[in-house]
Amino acid sequence: MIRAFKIGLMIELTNRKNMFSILIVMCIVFGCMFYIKSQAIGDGVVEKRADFYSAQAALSKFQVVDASENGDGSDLYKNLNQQKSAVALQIATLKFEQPPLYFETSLRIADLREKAFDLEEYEKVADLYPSRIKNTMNQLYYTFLVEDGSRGIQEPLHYFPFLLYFFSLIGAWWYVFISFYTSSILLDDFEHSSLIKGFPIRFDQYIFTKCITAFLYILSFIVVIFICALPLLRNGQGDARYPVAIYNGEPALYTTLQYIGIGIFYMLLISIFVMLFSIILNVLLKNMYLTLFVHVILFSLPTMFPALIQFIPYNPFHFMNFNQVLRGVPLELTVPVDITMNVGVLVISISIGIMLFIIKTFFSTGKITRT
Amino acid sequence: MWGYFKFEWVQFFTNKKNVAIYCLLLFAVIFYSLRVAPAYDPIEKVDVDEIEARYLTRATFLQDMAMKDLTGSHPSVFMAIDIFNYINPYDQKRLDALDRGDLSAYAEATSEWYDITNSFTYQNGSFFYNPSYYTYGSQYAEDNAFYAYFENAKRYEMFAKADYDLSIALFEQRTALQTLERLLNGPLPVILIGCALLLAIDIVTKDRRNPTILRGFPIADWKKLFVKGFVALLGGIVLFIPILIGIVIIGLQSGFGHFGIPVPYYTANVNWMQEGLLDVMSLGMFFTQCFLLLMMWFIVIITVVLLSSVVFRNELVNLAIGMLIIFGENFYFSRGVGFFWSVENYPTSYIQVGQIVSKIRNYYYMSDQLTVEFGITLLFTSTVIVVILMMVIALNSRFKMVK
Repeated sequence: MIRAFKIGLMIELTNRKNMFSILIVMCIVFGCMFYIKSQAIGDGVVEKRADFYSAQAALSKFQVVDASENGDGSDLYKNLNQQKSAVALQIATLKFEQPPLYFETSLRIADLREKAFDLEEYEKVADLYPSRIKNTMNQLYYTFLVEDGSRGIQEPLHYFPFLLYFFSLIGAWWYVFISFYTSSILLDDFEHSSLIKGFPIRFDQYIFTKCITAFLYILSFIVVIFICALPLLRNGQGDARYPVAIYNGEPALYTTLQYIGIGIFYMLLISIFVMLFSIILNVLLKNMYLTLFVHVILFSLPTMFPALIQFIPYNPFHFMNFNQVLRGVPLELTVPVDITMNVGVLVISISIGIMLFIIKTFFSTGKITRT
Repeated sequence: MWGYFKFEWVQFFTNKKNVAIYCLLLFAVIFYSLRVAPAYDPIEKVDVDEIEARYLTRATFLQDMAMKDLTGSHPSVFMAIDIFNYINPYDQKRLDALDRGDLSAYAEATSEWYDITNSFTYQNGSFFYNPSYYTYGSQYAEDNAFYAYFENAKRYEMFAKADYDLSIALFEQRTALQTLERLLNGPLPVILIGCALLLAIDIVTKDRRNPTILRGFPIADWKKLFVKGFVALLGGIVLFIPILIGIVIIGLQSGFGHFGIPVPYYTANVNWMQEGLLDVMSLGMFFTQCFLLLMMWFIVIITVVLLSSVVFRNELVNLAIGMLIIFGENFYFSRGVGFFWSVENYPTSYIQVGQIVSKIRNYYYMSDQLTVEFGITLLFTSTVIVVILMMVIALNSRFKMVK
């Protein structure tokens, strides 16, 4: 067993694919920094200006009337007007760098939007404003920041804010990346099968050693992310305890560190899931690309046909893009579906159990054969 | 040589992965043409209700104001009266033309309507484009609408002069060839180039599996590489067959269109609001240029895969390098960045083939340097460099294609 493990590790160490995958992770981390810079992400003034245009466009759908307290405009019209002036104030507070005032105006906007959802004719302008769940999360977030009173606005190119940004995007790509990485997990060894046949180990043991080596590499990918972000410490560390609003059945606040922590936990769980699934597909299809296609199709089906999520809510593939579930995106669908990552962990764990069982019972007798 | 070509050809088209790619593409095309294309809902459509609602509101306003004493009114009232008096006749002409079914007159009035509306709407603050442009979080809604209005103005201007039959489907770009044009401006180039990459990816590394058969061909390695590249290129051209099937399906539903349909393209970026911001070419010209650029991209991707196969000998590495080339532009693309950097010198900037030909990419980049000719030259130069590198390696006496 140990000997098999050692040989497996030796084979993997000489495999160019692993070094290259690490290189790709590095490229993506540095590319992400570049992307933040070029897209001006986190530049509040640019983002709020889009809000301002939205508010203006929403108002253009109404006849211009007196919007004062006792004016003859509808309630929604008055509300939208107040929002517009609040957004203008928000931009001003950003320009003059007044974080406490910025949080207050942001909270005020969130409160106004909260009221607007229940007003008549809201569906007319719904496209131009954030969804209800998103707004509730904003409300919670800014309430905390206003009450705390001691925090500023985070710079996206500091260490922790960058990691937060990175881990809040990675969900969509992690599954794809790991399926690339593991798509030929057994096929490589079908090619030097004589090496493996040299010593008698059972197929399940062999797969186990294989998984452990792959898993070690996956761990090293995550470590590489943290290491590659280190140069950002020159800009500053940022606040590791800065809050993040998430949805886990109800809107809640996590600290940056907590968010990164659960992100890594989900990523590891997803990696195990993908790895086992790749093994099954490898044995069945005996082709790297077919494995990859099946992976990508199953992953992208819920995105292309959101109705599927409502039809089969507990399909494990709905939880692979964990950032979206944490943002409460399933609640924004035309027919809202209340799925959370807590259920997701359960579903993924059960699927892992089932796949382990399948591999153990059906594949253990199979000799490793050359394709 | 011919024997080896036939051998590679058969291997290429019996490869499970390649068959899967063609099948998936065909499936996607059929799905698109049966389900997605008929549901296409353009922002700028021929909509009598929309025109009528706007026209009647403005006409009522003008009537109300005509009866009032306006001394001391807000200046914006005067502005509104001026503008409405100016634009309303055009809306009326459009409605009349639609009533009569005179599409040529409609096109003429609509062209002017777009031009005039654009001139008083852009960065005005009191007027807005069609609300569908503004969605939550879109920063460039107004710029996009500005361009779309200009484009429509130009398109309708050409339709007004047309000597072929006009139809609503033609105005709303629903015909098969116009659908292809829209797709080429959208995701299609990346999909096709990605498919070409996937087709070519194992063309060298697959030889590991049956080295003994290959010894039966007494051909130099560099010749083998060229044959492989050629087969992969032919395989790339076969990708157009599913697309043609899609065109036929859409064409049977909403008409085929023809190659004389005008396609506006962007000409300058400095003198805003000037006559000649857009020019037109024919749809046939558009397709020819797109096809040339796409072919150039196929060749680049295939030669890069060949080079990386002889250097790294690993399919995943090929895939990663190919992906980096295809998606490389996303790392630096942002609106107006061409004003500061010479983005036209990076070959990756030319990946959005349709947008390069219709030059809307220049509008996004705020640069007037990205042209089809320069793109082809640049891609050709890169190909030559890659091929030279490949030859240097393949002609080395210690080189073995299969280890």
